[in-house]
Amino acid sequence: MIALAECNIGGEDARLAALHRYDVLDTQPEEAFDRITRLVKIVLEMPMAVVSLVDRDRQWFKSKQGVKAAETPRNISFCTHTIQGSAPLIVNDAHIDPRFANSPLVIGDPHIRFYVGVPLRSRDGYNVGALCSMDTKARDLSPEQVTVLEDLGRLIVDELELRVQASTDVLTGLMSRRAFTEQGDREVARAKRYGTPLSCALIDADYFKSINDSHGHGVGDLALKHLATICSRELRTSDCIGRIGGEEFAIMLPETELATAMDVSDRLRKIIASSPIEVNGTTINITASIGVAEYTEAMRNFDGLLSNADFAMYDAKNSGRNRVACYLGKEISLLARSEDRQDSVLALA
Amino acid sequence: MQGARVTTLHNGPSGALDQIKIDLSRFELEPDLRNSVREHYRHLETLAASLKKLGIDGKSIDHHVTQIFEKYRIELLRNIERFEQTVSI
Repeated sequence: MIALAECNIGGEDARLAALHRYDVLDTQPEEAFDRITRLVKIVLEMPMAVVSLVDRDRQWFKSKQGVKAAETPRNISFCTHTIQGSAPLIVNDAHIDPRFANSPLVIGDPHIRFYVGVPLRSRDGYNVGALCSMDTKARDLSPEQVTVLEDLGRLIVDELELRVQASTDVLTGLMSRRAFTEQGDREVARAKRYGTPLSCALIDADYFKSINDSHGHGVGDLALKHLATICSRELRTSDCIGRIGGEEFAIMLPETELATAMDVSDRLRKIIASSPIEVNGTTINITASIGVAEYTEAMRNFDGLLSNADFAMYDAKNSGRNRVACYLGKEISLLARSEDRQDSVLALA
Repeated sequence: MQGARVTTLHNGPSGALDQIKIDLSRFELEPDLRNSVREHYRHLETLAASLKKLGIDGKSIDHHVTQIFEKYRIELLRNIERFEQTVSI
């Protein structure tokens, strides 16, 4: 049993942030979760079992057995009570429990009379939802059955956490390359559909190998975290940031034209260059080379956009580092650098 | 790297877990992921013990534990693939 003190059961905004970190709401059913709800039904000998994720105003079911609804309002749900504590919630007979006797879920479909739910506690200690099972008749469960439900609840959280790890870069907390690319595909589709601009910037730390060689990989990791922090702090919430290689980061700027993307990138470059890190009394200066490209139909997909940003980034490297270059298309065959950006962007127009 | 597919064993609650342990030992995992996998394995052990206490037979326990792990394993492989993409660039 989890001690109450170990749970962050307060702080609704933080709890919702923990839930949204899983990025699971309104996703398709998955066998990994359905297997568990089926097992709940078998072991507890119940007609209904769900994985309920408790959002701000609703409970949404990632997996459901014997239940028709995809979600219900939160204020009538049993699970909103379950997530208030750390222990399983057992309602032996909802008809005589004043909290639930008048609930539409009790007096109407699915006519819940018995309920058992265990909180789904995220690794950072927030109850994001519940694994629960229901019956249409009053009953009881053995302690051993409740224990199995708790065990299965932990396995649900294992699955959710593993998915987060797959989409997050462990060192920096930014999106992983895979997650960034998937998001990029979605942004390209959106840009095509609505005819809105989309730009991408590729940031590569200069002389990163020297930092690793001179100061050790621990300091190299600190430098990468430092860059990630600057990018996260300085960009809009609608911008996506990913670590797509060892010392390489990518930024996606939806609804942003090339000239603006250049301005944003140059501002980032200056902030990075003026924000050294201090390690054991030693100041380590960090600079970055940035390549920028705007999506055009000729690029076809997000990989094309990323390749062109990469092409520009190498030009920034070859031109002396600590600068921004942009890709202006093969027909122009010109790469603009920070120094001559104004002329080159005009050339594009 | 990816190891062999997990097979269901029918020699009691520990059979499938032993096989899972062998399977997991073949993965080279970064520390955070290794911790998550260890935690998941421990949760599977706990589940197997709880199911046994409920009186469920070993063959069924093996089946349930293996089924749950198989789905986790697929996600784990995606995760490893992501990590390899990051470090290879």
